[in-house]
Amino acid sequence: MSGAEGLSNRIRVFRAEQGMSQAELAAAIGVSRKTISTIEVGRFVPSTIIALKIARYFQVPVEEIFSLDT
Amino acid sequence: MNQPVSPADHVDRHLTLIALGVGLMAIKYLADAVQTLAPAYDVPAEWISDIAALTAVLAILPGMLWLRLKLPPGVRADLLAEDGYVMSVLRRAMRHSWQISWVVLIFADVFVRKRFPEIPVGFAMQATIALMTGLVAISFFVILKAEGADDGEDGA
Repeated sequence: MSGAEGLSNRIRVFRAEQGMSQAELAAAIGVSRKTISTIEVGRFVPSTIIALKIARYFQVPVEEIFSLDT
Repeated sequence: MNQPVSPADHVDRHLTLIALGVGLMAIKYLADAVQTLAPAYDVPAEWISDIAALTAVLAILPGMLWLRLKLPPGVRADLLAEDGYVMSVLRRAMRHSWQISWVVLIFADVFVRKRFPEIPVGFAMQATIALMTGLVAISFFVILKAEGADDGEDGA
């Protein structure tokens, strides 16, 4: 188990809005494509630093991208 | 010509090579342990041990150098970066290895050591190293395969 339960995200939505691929987002924030893809499907809970980098890249508060499942 | 890889992808591939190397060393130590315990299988076990060690040196190290060459000039990859998914898989694999090895060693201490005091120390050491390294490699690739089979490839 990855411990990913309970955290959902909207990375795919934000990517689609900007028409960018996982590889492009990965390169932009300095992680591997695999890291982005596993975060997207909820299999990997990112570190706070990666979460903040993604939010900063899309210029939105981190809560708009990541939220706890209730 | 191959495309250059990003530093983060480089780290992922590097970690996968390390896990492969750990797996080869597990085979080497297992063959050494068999050699210690069962001299009748001496020759095949020795060959397996040598081939595993040789493969680790001749395949893994050049593989790492090849990966290094694929990085764009002047770009460095932080091989100890803790943030990535593959590093998290390696950490989990090490945790699994430690947990299972701990249980097996306690079981061996309670039920095997006193009943078979003639077991050579060399065998116990080599078997323990083979167990721990083998579990790291197996666990790493099992997790990677199980979780990577459907990793939501792109769709931008």
